[in-house]
Amino acid sequence: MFIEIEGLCFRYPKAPKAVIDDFSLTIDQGEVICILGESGGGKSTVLRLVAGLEVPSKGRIRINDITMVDESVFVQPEKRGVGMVFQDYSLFPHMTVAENIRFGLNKMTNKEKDYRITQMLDLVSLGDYKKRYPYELSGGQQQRVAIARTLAPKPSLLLLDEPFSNLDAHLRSKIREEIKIILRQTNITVIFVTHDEEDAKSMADRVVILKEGKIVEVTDHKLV
Amino acid sequence: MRTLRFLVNKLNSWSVLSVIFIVLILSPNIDILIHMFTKPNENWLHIKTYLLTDYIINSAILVVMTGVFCTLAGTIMAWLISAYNFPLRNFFKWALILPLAIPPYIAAYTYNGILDYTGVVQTFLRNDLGIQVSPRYFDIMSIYGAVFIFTMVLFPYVYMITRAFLEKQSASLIENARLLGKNSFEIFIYVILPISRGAILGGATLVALEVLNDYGVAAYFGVQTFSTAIFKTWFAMGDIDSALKLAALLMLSVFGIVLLEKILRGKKKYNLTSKVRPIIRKQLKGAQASLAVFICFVFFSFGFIIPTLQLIQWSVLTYEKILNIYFIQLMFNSVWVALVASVLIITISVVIANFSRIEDNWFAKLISKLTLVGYSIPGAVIAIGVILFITQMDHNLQWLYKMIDPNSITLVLGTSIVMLLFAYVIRFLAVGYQSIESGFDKVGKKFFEASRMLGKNVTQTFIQVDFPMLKPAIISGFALTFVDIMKELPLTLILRPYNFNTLATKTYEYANNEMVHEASIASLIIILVSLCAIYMLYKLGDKEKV
Repeated sequence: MFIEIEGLCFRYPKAPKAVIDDFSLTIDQGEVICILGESGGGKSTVLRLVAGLEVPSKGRIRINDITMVDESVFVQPEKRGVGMVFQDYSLFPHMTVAENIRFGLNKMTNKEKDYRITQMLDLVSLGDYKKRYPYELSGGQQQRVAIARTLAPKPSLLLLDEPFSNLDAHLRSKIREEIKIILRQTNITVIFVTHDEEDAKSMADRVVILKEGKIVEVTDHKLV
Repeated sequence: MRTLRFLVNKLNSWSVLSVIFIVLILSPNIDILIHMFTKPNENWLHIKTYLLTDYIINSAILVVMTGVFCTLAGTIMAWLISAYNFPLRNFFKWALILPLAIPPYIAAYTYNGILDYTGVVQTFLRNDLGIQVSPRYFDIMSIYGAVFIFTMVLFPYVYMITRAFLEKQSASLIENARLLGKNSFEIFIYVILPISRGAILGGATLVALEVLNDYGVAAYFGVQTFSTAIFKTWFAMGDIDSALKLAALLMLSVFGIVLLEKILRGKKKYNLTSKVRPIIRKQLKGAQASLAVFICFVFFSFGFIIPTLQLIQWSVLTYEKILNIYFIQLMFNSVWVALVASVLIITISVVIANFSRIEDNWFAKLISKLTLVGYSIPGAVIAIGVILFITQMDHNLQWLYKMIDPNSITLVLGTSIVMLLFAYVIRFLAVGYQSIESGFDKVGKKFFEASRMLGKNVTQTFIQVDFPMLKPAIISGFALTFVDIMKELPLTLILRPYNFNTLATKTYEYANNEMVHEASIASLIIILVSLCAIYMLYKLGDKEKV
C-alpha cells in the first residue's frame, strides 16, 4: 500500500462535532482518488491533514511506509514530499511564472532548475509565459502554472483541492481533460476533492463519498 | 506521547523568541505591581495623608475635562464633515487632523510664550492699543490651561476615529430617521451618537491615556499629577519605594480606564452590511454654513495654526544662535535612537505577529494581545519599571562584568542607552505591532501554506514569501514608531544616559530655563516629522477605502 490512513479524527477547538470522524483509506501507487461530498463536509480537511497543515486529534497517516503522523510523530509539511494545488492556486504575486516554479526546486544546480522549469511549462503548454506575473494570466492559465509549480519538485503524492471550482463551465470539461492527460503522463498518485459528480466520474479511479466527516461509500471506477 | 509530539511540533525559533520577547516586555511592569504590596515607609504615609488626594483629583480633573471637551469637539466636527457640505469642507476634512502633529508639551510652552507679559498678545494690547490689562487674566499656567492645551491638540483622536466610522454608515439610517419625522439635531442625538458610541469611546480612551502619559505639560504648568509626582518622589526625595507605589496606582487607574471602555462599549456590535450607500451630504447655506466654518476654523487655528506660526516667528529670531554643530548633534541623536528602537520594535513585531498567525490558538492570541499593553502604560511608570529591572539585571550579571573587566562599574546596562531603547520598545511596540499584524492579515495564510507545501520551512517562507509581501506594512509601521519615539518626552528625560540630549529633551530644557524662543526650531522639526507621518497615515487610510 502506498498510502495508509487509519482512524483519522479531527475537530476544531470548541467545536461540538468532529469534522473528520474515523476516516480510513488505503491508496495504491499511481491511483487517482476522488473525495466527493457537500461543501463543509470535511473534504478539504482530509487533504490538509494529509498535507500536514492540520494536526489530527487521533489516527495515523503513513506515506510510502513512513509514518507522517500518529500519537507520537508529526512530520512538518515541508518534509512530507507531498504537493498540493490550492483552490485559489495561491501563486506568489511578487514572482513571475518561472520564479513561482523555481521556488519549490531545492538541491539542484541552476542549470537543472532552468531545465525543469522549461520541462514543466511545456507539460502544461505555457512555454511562452515564463516571464509573466500571475495577475497577467487567465484563471485557467493560473491553474496550470499552479499544477506545474506543484509537480516540479516531483512530489510522491499530489493533492488537488476543488481544482475546477474557480473555472467557467465551458472551460471546465476542457481543463479536466488536460489535467487528466498531465496526471497520466506523470503517473503520480493523486487525491482530489470536489463537490461535482462529473469531475469525480471523469477523472478518478475510485470515488470516496464523504458525508459529515464519515465515509459513506467507496465506488471503484476501474471495475465499472 | 502526545505532549511530546505537541512540544516538538510547536518549539521553533519563532515561538521561543516570541515568548522571550513578551516575558522581557512584561517583567518591568509586573515588577511594579509586585512592589505595590511592599511595606510602606514613613514617606509614603506622608504622601498618602497629605498629597495623594491632590494627585488623584488633579489627574482626574485633567482626564475627565479633557475627555469631555475632546469628545464634544471631535464628535461634532466629525458629524459636520461627514453629513454636510460647507465652504472649505474638503480642506478641514484633513486639516483637523493636523493638531496631532504638535506634542502637548510643545503646545504648552508656545501658548505660555504667546500669552505671557512679553508675549504677542499682551504686547499688542499694551503698545498698540494702549490697554493695560492685568497679566493674571492671561495666565495659562494652571490646571484649566492644561485642559485647554490637551483639548486643542488631542481632539483629533476622537474626530478621526468617529469620522472614519461615520463614513462607513449607511445613508438609509439617516433617511429613515428623516422620514420618521426627526430633524437634524434629533438624528444626531438619537441615531448618530448611539451607533457611534464605540468609535467615540475608542477616541476618548486614547485621549485619556495620552493625558495620563503626559509629563511635560503638567510639569511646566506646575500641576501636580501622578506622573509629576512619580518624578518628584524619585528624584527630589530619592524615595524609590514610594515612587513605585505611585506608579502602581497610576497603572491600575489606566487598567481601570481601559476596562471602563470595554464595559461602556458593551457587547453590542452593530454589524453593518458590507455594501453601504454612503451618507449623502446636505448642503449648508447662510448662517449655518458660516457657523460650521467658524467651528472648524477655531479648532484648526488654536490646535495648529497659532502655535505653528508663533514657532516660525521665534525661529526666525533665534536661528542664527541655535543652528550650530551642537544642534546637528541633537538631531543626529534623535534620529539614531529613534531608528535603532524602531528597527527593534519592527523586528519583534514581525516575530510575534508571524508566530501568532501560524499558531492561531489561545496562547498565541494572548501573546499577541500582550504586545499592546505597553502603549496604555504612562511613560513615567514604564521608566521606573525599566530602571528597577535593569538595575536588578546589572546586579545579577556582576560575575560576567567582572570576568570581562575586573574594574568594571556596577551599573553597566543602567548607565547605557540600552535602558532607553528597552523602554521605547515596551511603550511603542503596540504601534509597530498593529501595523505588522494588519499586514499579515491582508496577506493571509494561503501563500504561507503553499510555500510550506513546496518544501520551505517557516523561516525560509518568511524570507522569500512573507517579507516581500509585508513590505508596505513594515514601512508604515516603521515610520509611525519612528515619529512617536522622536516626539517622546518622559521616558527620554528619565532614562537617557548622562549628557545625552535629543530634540525633545532639549526643547524641554530650553522651555524650563525660560528660553522658549530658543526651543522653537527643535519644536518645528518635531512637528514637521510628525506631519509626514500623519500625511502617510491619511494616504494609507484613503487607499484602503478604494
